[in-house]
Amino acid sequence: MSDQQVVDAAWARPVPVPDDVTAPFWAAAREGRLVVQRCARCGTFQHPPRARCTSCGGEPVFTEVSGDATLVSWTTAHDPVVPGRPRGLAPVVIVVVELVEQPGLWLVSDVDEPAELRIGANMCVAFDATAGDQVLPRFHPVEEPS
Amino acid sequence: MTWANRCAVAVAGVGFSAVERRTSTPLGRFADDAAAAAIADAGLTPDAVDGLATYPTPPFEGAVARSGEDMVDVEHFLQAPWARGVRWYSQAGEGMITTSVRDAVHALAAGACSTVLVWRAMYVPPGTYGTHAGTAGGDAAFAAPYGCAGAIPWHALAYRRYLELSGGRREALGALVVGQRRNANRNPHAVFADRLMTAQDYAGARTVADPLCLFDCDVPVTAAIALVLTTADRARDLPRPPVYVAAAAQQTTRREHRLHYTMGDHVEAGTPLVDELWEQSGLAQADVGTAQLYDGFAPSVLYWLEAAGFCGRGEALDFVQDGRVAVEGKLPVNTGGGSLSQGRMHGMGHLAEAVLQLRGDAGERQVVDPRAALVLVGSPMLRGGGVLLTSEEL
Repeated sequence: MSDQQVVDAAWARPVPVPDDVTAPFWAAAREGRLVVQRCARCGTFQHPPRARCTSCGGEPVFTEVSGDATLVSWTTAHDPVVPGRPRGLAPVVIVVVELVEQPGLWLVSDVDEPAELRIGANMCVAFDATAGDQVLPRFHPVEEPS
Repeated sequence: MTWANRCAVAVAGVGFSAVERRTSTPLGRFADDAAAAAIADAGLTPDAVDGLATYPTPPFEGAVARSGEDMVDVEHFLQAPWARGVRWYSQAGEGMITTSVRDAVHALAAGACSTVLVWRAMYVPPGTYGTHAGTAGGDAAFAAPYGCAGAIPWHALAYRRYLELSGGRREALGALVVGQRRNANRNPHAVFADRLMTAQDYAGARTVADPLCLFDCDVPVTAAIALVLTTADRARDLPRPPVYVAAAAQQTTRREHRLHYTMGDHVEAGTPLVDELWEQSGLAQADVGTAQLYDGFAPSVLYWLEAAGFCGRGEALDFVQDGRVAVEGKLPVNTGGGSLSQGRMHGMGHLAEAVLQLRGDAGERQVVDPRAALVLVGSPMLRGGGVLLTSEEL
């Protein structure tokens, strides 16, 4: 994590602005918890947060999840594509992960310099980056047992 | 069921402005030029126009959206001295220019007006493209802080997954991209009409967000293109061969992920839209003489080919090899060069090219007797839309 902090120091990540619907996600992140909306009626998870359940129209309730996920896709984004990142720094590896709680429940993250990425690789959450006064949940590859 | 408005409306004229990269000439002048050219092409005078339709949204973050300067909305033409007779207009906030065409068909078929000007004007801002604020709200809050902002990373992520699941190599897409440049080299309306591209150029292009390289991204231009639509009966009395609107559809499924969160299966998102076009028109893949497929990013062409059923899932990279999508091929695709090489017109270039092809006016890049042209715009996940145009009334 120490290397990441050095990189982050030069990267002015866009700061998330919570609103009425999304505020619980960011409040939980500050406590080191990952919460995702889950419908009180049909039990379907959804992300990003919405005013109602997009499956049944029910009431979404933020629910803590395990933070375990698998890798869906990734890209190495070179400047000037990455917002707030000064030119000349290393490109950023952006990933999409699927939470183990539900197929299609996808979140975005960036990862530290990965050795190798493959679809389905195990990932887990850590709360090891900040943007302004917000804490960012980030996903990392899980060391495979050899 | 076939569409109640199938071939009720036709394109009677098409007009192009000059095409530039950055320029200090106000965008409204480009739109005026395109409108005047389209109206003249239809054999009409400006006072005949009594309907207006566009999708005006500027294609970049931070646009001021000032009428006639960095965007051309309905207001620009309502203020035109010749526009006193306008009695209907429509300004789409979503769905790109095929939505405006569909709106115009409905208005004409319902008798709300008799002659509709449909246009799209695009602008390249000065300075760095896509400047980003230091904050991110709404859906962007869940992506931008991780470096994922705007269309490029979203398309890169979707394309990476596509290549991994289909077993394709990024170099193979050069067959499509270089072929489209060859088409643009035969299109006087293309911004890259005079600039060549070789397979080596493509293979060596700089990476933007892998697997996307620079040449997989469309080229921003300042330009306008306009069409004149009228009822089919009236179009037959005008000088140009009518090009009939046989079907028009919008992508309305799987809209849970919007501009700042576009991940998902593009092929699945596009399939219902194309199915609706087949149903409305009564036509099928084998009837299509040319396909104009949105290529804001080159991989979208692959998704549309699969969504339209021209090949199976994961087969489109193979499909675009061996000249199959060239002007002389089995299914000519993006014969005018597309957004990649004609210029980023957000689907209007594709639409205009389809009209020229069906009229037999495409010059050196003319497809032999295409009869039906499929135009699919959007990514398809984001702002998908489509029309099917024919040279004969169905």
